Order: sequence, then structure tokens, then C-alpha cells
Amino acid sequence: MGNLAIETDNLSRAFGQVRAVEQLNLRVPPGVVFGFLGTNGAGKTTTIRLLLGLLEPTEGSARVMGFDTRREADEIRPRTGALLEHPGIYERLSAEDNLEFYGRIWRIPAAERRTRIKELLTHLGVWERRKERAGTWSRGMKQKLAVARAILHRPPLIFLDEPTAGLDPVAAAALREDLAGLTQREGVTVFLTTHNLAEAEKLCGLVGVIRQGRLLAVGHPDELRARAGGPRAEITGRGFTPELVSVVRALPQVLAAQAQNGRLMVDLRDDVPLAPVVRAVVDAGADIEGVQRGAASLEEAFLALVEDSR
Amino acid sequence: MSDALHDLRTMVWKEWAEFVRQRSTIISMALFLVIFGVFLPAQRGKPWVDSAAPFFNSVLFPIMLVLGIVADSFAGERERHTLETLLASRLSDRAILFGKYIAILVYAWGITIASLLLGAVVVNVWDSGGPLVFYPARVASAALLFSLFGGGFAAAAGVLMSLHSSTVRQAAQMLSIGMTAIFVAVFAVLAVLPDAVVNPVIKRLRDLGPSGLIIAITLTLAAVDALLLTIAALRFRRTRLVLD
Repeated sequence: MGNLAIETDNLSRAFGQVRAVEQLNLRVPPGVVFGFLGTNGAGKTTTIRLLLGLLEPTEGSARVMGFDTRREADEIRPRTGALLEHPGIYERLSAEDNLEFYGRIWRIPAAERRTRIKELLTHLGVWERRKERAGTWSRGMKQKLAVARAILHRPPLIFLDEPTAGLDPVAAAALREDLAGLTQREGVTVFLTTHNLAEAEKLCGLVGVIRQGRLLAVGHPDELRARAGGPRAEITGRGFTPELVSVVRALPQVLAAQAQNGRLMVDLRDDVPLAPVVRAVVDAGADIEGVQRGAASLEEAFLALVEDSR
Repeated sequence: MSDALHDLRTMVWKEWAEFVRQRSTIISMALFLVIFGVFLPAQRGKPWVDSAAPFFNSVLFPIMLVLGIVADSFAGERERHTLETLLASRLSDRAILFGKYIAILVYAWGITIASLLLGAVVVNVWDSGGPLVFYPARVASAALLFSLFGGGFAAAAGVLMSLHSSTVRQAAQMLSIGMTAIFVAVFAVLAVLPDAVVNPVIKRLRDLGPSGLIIAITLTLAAVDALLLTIAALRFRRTRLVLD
């Protein structure tokens, strides 16, 4: 068992004939941001519900912070914060009262509660609007408030289901920074689901890809990107004729090459120098404007995993 | 304060903040008190305290007031997508269930008692000649107990119906059908039972006398309330509530 924040063994949940989560085996160490990636209906939200003890597994088991989700869910919930599928904001209450209610729930002493609420609402830039009914706020502001509620009591483990949905780019970047800070400074574990793969790439130390309830892969984003393909180069310019592409494909350093929209995409063999390839392209008559060496993005890795599983 | 009591107070605080402290509720409460605590007693003067009206009001008002809001207790949270987050918190099942029950009951019972007390004050001020009057002890005690346990019955039945209803409308419909069924069943049973069975029961109730009758009815209502709350507590399963 060790000191894992989350551990699941063949965790499964079916709704009638639909197997929402199937044989899920996850190991999430403490102090990381774990990104749970998947298409709509992949089983991400069901997994969070199972981990919080809000649903019972039909098979398998899970332990969160060392507690069994089936038998000891009452020990798990006090140690976690959650932003679930919906923000869960009481729209008839003010923003301040929403946090006041959850502050009382978490038994934060009154003075500390006031200070913490002020700190969070000020940080989110909504302190001046704290007395307004939350129902009058925009979706993004409610989402911010829901995130504040999830971290209000400084839990060691936070579940965030699509936390940046509805946030503007500035607010989303700020939230990413906050979450990264929480894990680095306070050792908080964050379990988040997202469709935003660029976000996961920036933020997550570990990602898992789920499709139709099955875990397809788990690892550091770099590992998943490496699995999707080796090093590659993107050459921009003019004159990428079919003949030139054939010449490039024939080079010993090259696995594959294709030209599209003024770009020549070249898949390279591992650890080969790029200079001979560039020289060959110039010698074949192309005008080069730029060369960039890189690897597959997490999005490409994700799409490749999903495609392979079909 | 014990943790359980703190959690219960927290839940009651939220329910009141979300409902009772709203302007529309405050206006309704004020109107209610003006009509039933001021206007009607003032019309009758001091005879008001000895009339049947205060007693019937105290039985009917809490039930009516509870039925107006109780369907929202769980179904409303489910409809507004706040229930799952609440269930993901560290509040115990009992704190959530009984917190909602108490908040609704105290609201309905509180207004009923306030209207009765206000009525007593108003008749004495309005009709200031002669000695001060108050409700007869039996009426006052019956009003106090029946309003509490009658309201408690409606609140327990309502919470039970609301617990697994998808929408407030569905909960309200089930509650209204349930209440109607209970009243129809009581009268149907009384109509069907032969006099040889009914008459001895009526005689025994008469033999109890007014005080004994108040105690008997109170104990029966308390037992029914306890039964309904026990069923609600047994049916409160987070793993089912999320799916509903």
C-alpha cells in the first residue's frame, strides 16, 4: 500500500449494461497533480465519485489517503476538497455565505474562517462583490468560487472535475499557477480531469488516459509523448515538392516525412543529428525559413492512444 | 459544543440562510402574522382566546407551512446541482437529514406559535377593558404539542418523499398524493369498520378526558414522526442519493 494518495485495484462500476469504469488500476503518489484525461463519457466523473465514496464499486476496491472507499468513506471526505461536475454553488446565498457554510462544515474556527474567506475572495478578485447573490454571477465567477470552496480548508487531496471549464484564459492560467503552487509549497495532491490537453501538459506531473472506462496509459506527460513517437522536426519554407519529400524520406536519419501547408514534418530516428536532413532539403532546392525540433504533443499522444484502442 | 450538534447547527444555518432570510420569505411571514396574529384576533376581541380558531390554526398552520417548502429539501438541492457537493463534504448523514428536518419544523412551528402569542397580545391591547386573558391551559398545551408534532409529521413525510425525488415538482406531487391517501384511508377505515369495533374505541378515548386525549394524540403523533424519521434515516444512502 505504501503512502499513495490514491490506489485502485481493478476498480469497476457498471450502470446496468454500461460499464462506466472497468478494471481501473491507478497509483497516484502524494504531492503531484494527476491529470485524468478522457473523452466525454469516458468514466472520469464516475471515478471521482467512486474515490469519494459517493458511489459503490461493483467490483474491485480503492483506497484514498489510506482509507477504503467502501468502508471508510467518512474518513476520506474530511481529508479532501472537491469541485465536482457542477460547481454546486448555492445561488440564493451570497458568495461569502457559500464559503461561510463550507467553512463551518469543515469546522474552521470563526476568526480563521473570516480571514481565509477574505484571503481567497481577494485572491480571486471578487472580495468587493462578496455580498452579491452567487446566482447573479457569471459561470466563470461561480467556477472560481467553487474552486475557492474546494481549497478553503486546505485539504491534502483535491478532486477537480474540469476546473477551468468556463474560465477565461487569464483566470485559467491563474488557477493553474495556484494549483502548481499548492503541490509545490504544501505537498497537496490534485486529481483533476480535463479536456484541455495543453493545460494537462503544463500542469500535470502524472497523467492517465481513460476511454470507455478502461485506463489506456499512465505516466509523466513526456513518457506519453515519447510513446506516441520519437523526435521530429518541423521545417517551414517553400519548395517542398513531392520529389523533395521522396529525397528526404530516403535519408537514413528519417523514418517518415510529409509536406503540408508550407511545412515539412519529418519523423526522425532516435538521437540523430538534424543538420544532414536540413542540408539535404536545401540541396534539393527548398527555401527554408525556420526549423524546429520537438516531440509529439500530449494531444497527439492522447489521440494516438484513443485511436489505438478503437 | 459536540461535533454532532455543531454539524446540525451548520445545516440549520444554511437552510435558514437560503430560505428564511430571503426577502420573499420575510414578506410572507410578516403577512401571515398580520392576518392570523393581528387582523383575525382583533376582529373577535377577547372571545378569540376561548374560541376554537386558535386551536385549529395551531394544528393546520404548521402542516400547511411545512408542505409549502419541504419538497424542496433534497429534490431542490438535486435539481440545482448542489446535493452532490454537499454529500462530498464531511457532514454526517444524520446532520444533513435532521438539519433539514429541524430547520423546516422550527420555521413552521415558530411562526405558528408567534401568531398565537401575537393574537393573545393583540386581543388584550385591542379590547383593553377588564382583566387580561390568555388561552385556556388545555388549548395552549394542545396547540403547543399538536403544532410541534403535526408539523413534525408533515416535515418527516416531506423529507422522506423529497429524498429520492428527481425534481421538486415530483416530490410535491408524491407528498400531496401521500397526504391525501392518508386522510382518505383514515376516513375509509372508520367508515368500513363496524360500530362494534369503533364505538368501544371512541368510548375509551372519551374516558381519557381532555388531558388524556391530548397526551394520547401527542404520543401517537410522536411515534409516527419517529417512525417516518427512522425510515428516512435508513433510506439516506449517499451512494443512492447521487444517482437519484
